[in-house]
Amino acid sequence: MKQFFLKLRLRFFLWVILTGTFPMKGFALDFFVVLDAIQTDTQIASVDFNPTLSRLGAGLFFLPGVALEAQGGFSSSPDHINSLGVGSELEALEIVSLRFQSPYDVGYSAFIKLGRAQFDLLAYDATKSVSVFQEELSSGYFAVGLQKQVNRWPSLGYALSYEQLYRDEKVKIRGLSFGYSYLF
Amino acid sequence: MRLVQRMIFIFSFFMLNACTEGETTEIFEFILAADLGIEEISLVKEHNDNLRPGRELRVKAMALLKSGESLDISEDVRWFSGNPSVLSVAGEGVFLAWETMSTTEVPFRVEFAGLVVRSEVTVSMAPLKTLEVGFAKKGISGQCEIAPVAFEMSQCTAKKLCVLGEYEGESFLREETSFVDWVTGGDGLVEEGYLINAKVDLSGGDVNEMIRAKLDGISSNLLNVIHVADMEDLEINAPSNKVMMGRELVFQADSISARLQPYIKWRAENFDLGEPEADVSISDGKLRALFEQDFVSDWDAYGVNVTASCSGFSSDAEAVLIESDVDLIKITDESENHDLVIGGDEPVILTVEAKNKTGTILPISSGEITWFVCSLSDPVCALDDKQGDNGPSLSLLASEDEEVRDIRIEAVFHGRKASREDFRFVE
Repeated sequence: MKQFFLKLRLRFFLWVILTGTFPMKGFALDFFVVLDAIQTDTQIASVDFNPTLSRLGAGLFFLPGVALEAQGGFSSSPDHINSLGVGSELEALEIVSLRFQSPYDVGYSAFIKLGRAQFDLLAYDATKSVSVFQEELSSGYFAVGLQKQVNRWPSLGYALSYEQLYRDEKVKIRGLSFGYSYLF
Repeated sequence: MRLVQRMIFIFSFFMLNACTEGETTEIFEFILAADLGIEEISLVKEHNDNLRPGRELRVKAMALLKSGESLDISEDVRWFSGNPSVLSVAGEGVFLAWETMSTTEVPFRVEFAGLVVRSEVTVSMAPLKTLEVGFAKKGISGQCEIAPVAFEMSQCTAKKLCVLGEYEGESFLREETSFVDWVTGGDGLVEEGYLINAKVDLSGGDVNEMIRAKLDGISSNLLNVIHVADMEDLEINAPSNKVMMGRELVFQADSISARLQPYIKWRAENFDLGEPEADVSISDGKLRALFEQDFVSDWDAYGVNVTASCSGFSSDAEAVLIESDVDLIKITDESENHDLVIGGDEPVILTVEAKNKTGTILPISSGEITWFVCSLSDPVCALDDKQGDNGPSLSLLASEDEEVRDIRIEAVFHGRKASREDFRFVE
C-alpha cells in the first residue's frame, strides 16, 4: 500500500509538471535567488548523523517552468555521536540542477530538481574534535518540493523540499530543506 | 515547447543516474569501527607451514571489541600482499602462492579504519633437484654454455653467468641470477650476474679460479675459470694532455667495458721536473691539481704521470699542468660592517670576482671555489679550515663558541687565491 501511494504521488508531480500550462509571461528568462538550510540524514555504516548546511543559490528560467539553478552550501553544524566518539560534517556543497516547476495555483507550486551535487564528507574523532577522514564526493542529485508564494509580495516565496545528495553501498545522504526564494 | 520541456526532463532523469564519484571506504570503516567498538585487530593464520606454489593460505582478521568479545571482520577489512607476483590475494582472507625461484618471506597486511596490521608467510619453491652454472652465450639469449673444460677469461673482462636447474619435473634456465648465492674461490667477483676479474692480479701470469652457485641448500657444478694475462694495452686517453690549475682533466680507459670502469685503479704522480711538488688528485679518471699556482716558478717544467691499472696490467699517460686563466681575483662583500657578532644571526655574504688577462670577468660555477676561514695568526689557512660547500659565495657567521677574533678569509679559484684580513669576530 505504501508503495502504491508513493507511485501515485510521483505520477501526480510528473503530470503536473509535464502537462500543466506554462504561460510564457512571468516565467521566461526570469532570474531568482534562493536562500535555505538543509538538515541531512547522513547514514554511514548504519550510523545516522544529521549535519546541517546553509545554502545560497541562483537560477534562471530559460523556458517556461524550466530553470537552470546553481547552489553553494557550507556547513553550519556538524553532528557528533558522543557515545561512539565520532562525528560527521558536510562541507563545500555545490549543486547544479535543472528545476522543473509548475505554475502557482492558489499560491502553491510544485517542483522537481535533477542535477549533480558535489561536496566534502568529513568524519570526526569527536573526542579530539579532529577531522580524521575527508573525501570529495559527487553524485546525481534529486529534489522534490513545494513552494508557497507570500501573499503580500508574490515574488517572494518559501519552500520545503526533500533531497537526495548521495547514495552508494556504504553511505547514503538525504535531507530536508527549508528556505526562501525571490523572483526578479 | 512542451516537447522540449519533456525532452529536457527525460535527459535530466538519465543524468541523475550518472556515476557516483568518490571513495567512502575509509570513512565507512572508521564509523563502523566506532559503532562496533573495535579496539584492535589481529591476524590469525590457518597454518604456519611454508606455502608451496599453487597452495592457499587462509587468514582471519579478528577484531577485539571494547566489550571484550572477538569479532571476525575478515569480510570488512582490505587485504594486501607485499609481493603479488609470489603471493596474490585470492579472496577475503585467502592468499594464493605462485612460483618463486627461491624461498621467499612475503609480507602481507590488512587495512581497516586507518589501522594497518601486518604479518608474513614463507613461500618456498618446490624442492630443487639439480643446479648447474655456466656462461651465457654473448649476443644469444636463452643459451647457457656448460662444459667440463675450463673457461678462459681475458684480463680485465666481465662474463655473464647463467644457471640451469630442475625441480619437480620442471626445468628452468635463468640469465638473471640475483636469486642464487655465488661462491668464488679467488679474487674474482660476481656482480649483477657477471663474473668480473678486474680485481684479480694477473701481473704474475694466469690464475685459476673455481666458482659455484648455491640455491636452497643445493650446490651447483664447479666452474673452472682461467683468468688469462693477455692484455696488450689498456689505452687510456683524455681530451688533451694539459690540465689547467684548479680544473679537471678526465681520463678514460676506452678499451674496457663500462661495467669495469669502477674497478680501474687510477694513480697520479708528479714527475719531478721542477720545484715545488704539485698536490694532485685523481679519482674515477678525473685528474685535478689542487694547490695554488702562486708557488709555481717554472710552468714549462710541470707535469703529472697518470697510471691506470686493471687486473695487474697498467698503462700510463702524461699531462702537463698549465697556468690558470685567472689573472686577478678578489673577495668582495656588500656589508659596511666587517665586525661579526659572536652568536649573531646576520651573516655577511662574500663573493669572488675573477678576471683573466684580457680583463674579462670569468664565470664561476658552484663547486669551483674553495673557501677557508682561519685565524689571522696562521700564516696560511689549512685544509681543516675549509668552509661552506664550494659555492660561488660564502655566508659568514660567527658561532657562539667561536674563540678566534681576528680572522683571515681565503678563496681559491682555478688555482689562484684571494684573501681578506679585515674581518673580525666580536663579542
